[in-house]
Order: sequence, then C-alpha cells, then structure tokens
Amino acid sequence: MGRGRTRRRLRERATPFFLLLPALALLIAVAGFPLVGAARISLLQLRLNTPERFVGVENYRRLLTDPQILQSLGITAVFVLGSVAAAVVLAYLLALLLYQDFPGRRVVRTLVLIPWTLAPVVNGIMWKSLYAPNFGPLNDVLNRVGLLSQSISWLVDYPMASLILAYVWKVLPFPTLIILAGLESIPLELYEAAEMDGAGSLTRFKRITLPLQRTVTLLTVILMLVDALHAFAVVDILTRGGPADRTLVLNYAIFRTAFRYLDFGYGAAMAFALTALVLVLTFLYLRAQSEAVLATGR
Amino acid sequence: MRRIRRALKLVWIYAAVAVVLVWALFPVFWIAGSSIRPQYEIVATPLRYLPQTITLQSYRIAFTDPAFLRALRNTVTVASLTTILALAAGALAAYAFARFEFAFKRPLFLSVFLVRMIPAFTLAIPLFVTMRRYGLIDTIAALVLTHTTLVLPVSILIMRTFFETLPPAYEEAAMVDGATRLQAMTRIVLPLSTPALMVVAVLSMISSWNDYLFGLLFTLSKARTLMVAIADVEGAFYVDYPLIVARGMIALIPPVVAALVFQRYLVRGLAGGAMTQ
Repeated sequence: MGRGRTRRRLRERATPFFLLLPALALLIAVAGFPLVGAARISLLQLRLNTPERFVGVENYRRLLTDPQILQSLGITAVFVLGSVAAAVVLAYLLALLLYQDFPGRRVVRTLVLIPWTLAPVVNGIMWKSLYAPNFGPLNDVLNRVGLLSQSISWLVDYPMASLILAYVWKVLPFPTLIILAGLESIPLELYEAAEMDGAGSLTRFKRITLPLQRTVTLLTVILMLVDALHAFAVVDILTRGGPADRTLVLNYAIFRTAFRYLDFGYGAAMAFALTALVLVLTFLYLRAQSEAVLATGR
Repeated sequence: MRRIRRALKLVWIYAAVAVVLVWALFPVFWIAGSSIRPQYEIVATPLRYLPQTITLQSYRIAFTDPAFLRALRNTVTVASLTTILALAAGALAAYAFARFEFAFKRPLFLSVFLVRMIPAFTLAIPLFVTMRRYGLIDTIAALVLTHTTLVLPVSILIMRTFFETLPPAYEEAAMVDGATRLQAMTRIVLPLSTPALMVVAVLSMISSWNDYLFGLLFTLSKARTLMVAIADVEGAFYVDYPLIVARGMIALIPPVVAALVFQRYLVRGLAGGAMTQ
C-alpha cells in the first residue's frame, strides 16, 4: 500500500513533463534550435553552394558600417511609428463610436472585423488594385470630388504613405477591439458622477477614460510595434522595398540579403539586429504588464 | 427637447457609422466586384463601381488551373494538419501549466511566450539551411511543423487561461473513481473547454492559411501554397486583373467566414490571449 502510493505520487510528478513533451519537442526543434543556428550562421560567411567559412564578428562589423542598414533603420522607424500612431488614433475614434449604444451596433461591430481576417497577401493585392494609376478607384474618387486633377502613381510617388495606409487598414480592428474591451470595463457610475459635477464629454474622456486606459493602450502599442516590425507580405506585394529602396524596411532588407542575394551569414546578423529590437520591446511589454497586474491586484 | 437631442446624436452616430462601413468594406467590395467582371470593363473610362456585365469566367479559369488547384489543396492540407497538431500538443501543454506545479514552470512558460516574439527571419534562415540539407524543402511536413510551432504559444496561452477557470474538483472526483490523468483531461476538461478549443482551432487554421513568408521560402512547386500562388501576379504578356482578384477572393473567403462565424469566441479569446498574465 505504501509502495503503491509512492509510485502513484512519482507518476503524478512525472505527468506534467509527459504532457509538455510534444509541444516542447516542437518548440525546441523549430524555434530553440534554429535560434542557436542563427547565432552560428551570423558568424559565418555562408552563401548558397559555397563552403561555409568562419569569419567571427565580421558580419556584425559590416552591419555597423553599412550605410544601407542605417538608412533601413530610418525607413523602419517611419513605417513602424507612422503605422502605430495612425492605428492607435483611428482605433480610439472607432472604439468610441462602437462604444455608443445604437440600433444595429452588433452588426457593425462584426463588419468592422473583416479587414483583420484578410490574409496580408490578399490585402496587398487588394490595395494594389485600389492604388492602380489609371483605373484605380482611389484616383477616380479623388478626381471626381476635385481633390486631384490628374492621376497619381501612388506606389511610385508616395510609396511609404501608401504602404502605411494599406497596413493600417488591415490591422486596425485589433487595437480597436482591445481598446473597446477596456472602455467597457470602466464603470458607468464614474462618468455619471463626473457629469453631475459638470464635466463635459471632453473632460470626462481626458480625466477618466485616458488615465484608466493607460496600461491597456501601452500594451496594445507594444504588441503593434512588434507586429509592424514584422510586416513582410504587404511590402513584398506592394513595393518590394522600392522604388529606389525608399520602403526598404529592415525585415524586407533581411529577406533580400538572405533569400535574394543568398548571403545567409550577413542576413542572419541583420536578423539578430531586428531580434534585439524586438527583445527590448518585449522587455518593456512584460514590465508594463507586471505593473498593470500590481496596480489592479489581479 | 431631450428626445430631439437624442435623435440628433443618433444622426451623428449613423453618419460616422456610414463612413466606417465604407472604409472597412469598400476595398473588399471593389475586388469582389472586379472578380466577376470582364477585363475590358475594368480598364474602361469612366470607371464604373457596379459591374455592368457579370461573368464567372475568372473563377472558371482559376478552378481549372492545375497549379492553382494543387496550391489550394496544399493549403487545405497544411492548415488542417496544423490545426489538429496545435490543438493536441497545445492542449496537453496547457493542461500541464494549468494543473501542475513543477520545476522551472515560470521560466518555461515565459520562454514559450518569447517564441512568439522572435522575428520570422531569425528562424527562417537557419531552418532553410537545415531543411535544404535534409531534403525537407518543398514538403508539406516542413510547413506543418513550422506553422504549428509558431501558433503553439498563443494556443497554450488561451487554453491554459481557460482550463484555470474550471474547478479541479471534477477531475479529482473522476480520478478517485479510478480514471487516469489523461482520461480525466480528455473526458472531463476538454468537453467543458469547447469555446477555448474553438478559438485555438480557428486561430491556427487562419494563421496557417494566411501564411506567406514560410510558404514562399520553404516551397518551390510541389508543396507551393495558395498565398504564394496568388501573390505571383506578373503575367507573361499582360496583367489579368479579374483573374488576380478572383484568386484573391478564393483565398479570402474561408478565413473570413470562419472568423465571422466564430467571432464571439475569437474576440474573447484574443482579448485574453493578448495578455500573458
């Protein structure tokens, strides 16, 4: 009896590891192992069909002196910050609208999710046809209302703005949903009390909504920054980093170096630079989150 | 007076709603319309917003193109296998995190979360080099393993959060009656967790279906996926817009329908999944 119980307890202690085994095996094989592999490759000169050669930190030295990297970082900053700023402002407006009580609200709330479910590739193809210079609806509408007098080649003349618009259109439902969930968790009594004290709607928004939403907004912003840093399909379909590298965000520069110029060693070093950026953001995310947990006691 | 103010407010709200709906739906409406028009109508001036002639020609071309059909079949296979694997491996791991205390639990959970943050190319470069060496390039397996791994962190997170809301008393009672851990989990916990399993299934299916990057890098022709096939738009002589957007529509419909049908589950699951807790 005593032995049976010990055996049972032993088995119970081993159980979680058996349960974790399939997931961990996958995560180690497809994420952990490659991560180490990427570190190794970044120290090699590795091109397709030529023998690999250990070059130490040469790729990283090149990274620091490569003018194209500096340019790419600037482009990335414009794309990422522009997208996230636009998305957060628009998401707030949209969430405030969907927060209102009106007949048909549920249908509208469902319909605005559609952009989010589109594949990035489909989104790219779609915006390419909307931006088409001669027979695209964007030019047509702007011409009809008199804002334009000739057609614009959007992806050539305003590639960055066009890219940001297409990207923001698709991701917008995500921050909207999170902000909306946050708005609905604020007790109505707070607003009613403030209204009784004579606070206008703008004051109520500034004094109640924004402070209470601070952490939620911060977490959303960080998640979106990470997502924007990873944008790939939309760039590949709409601009391919061009024209003349004007939309060559870091993620796309990595793709080109590794899979078009087949310079894997340097590509891996660039990928690590991006990983470092993302890790800093992740650290900020986790810190903001633990602060939120402390503040709400959850 | 108050009723007038309220009515006026509704007018403003509906005006704003109209703008929002045009913003969210017009682009999709535009490609849907273009996909059922003949090419000459799309390039005609002045531009018309409603199709004058409706034709399913582009869809017919798409569905009779063997390369496109193969890509469609590959994507269905990869997305289904990814969903099954992510559910199975994810549920087991989530259950371990929800119900057991063990060494390195917190750091282990944190590193699972971190996997989600690693940039795709940091993994894609070494994976490509390794897969090329072992002949895994252009296989369904390469994509299934990659897609499953990448969706696992969110899956584990969502299911763990849900499992923790269930009282452990049911399983304990079943185990007193002689059920094993695994039986208690599959017979009691999983049936009660349908909403969470649904979220994970829809999420895995959509993320695998929509993937472009790994499909582009890891396949050539045999295992080529739908997204890679439709992104390849440069024709030899001219660009067939209706065909391009018709193929886009075919790729668009399954995830959009799945997301709308399971919308309520998804929204709740994702709002929870956005936080690591």
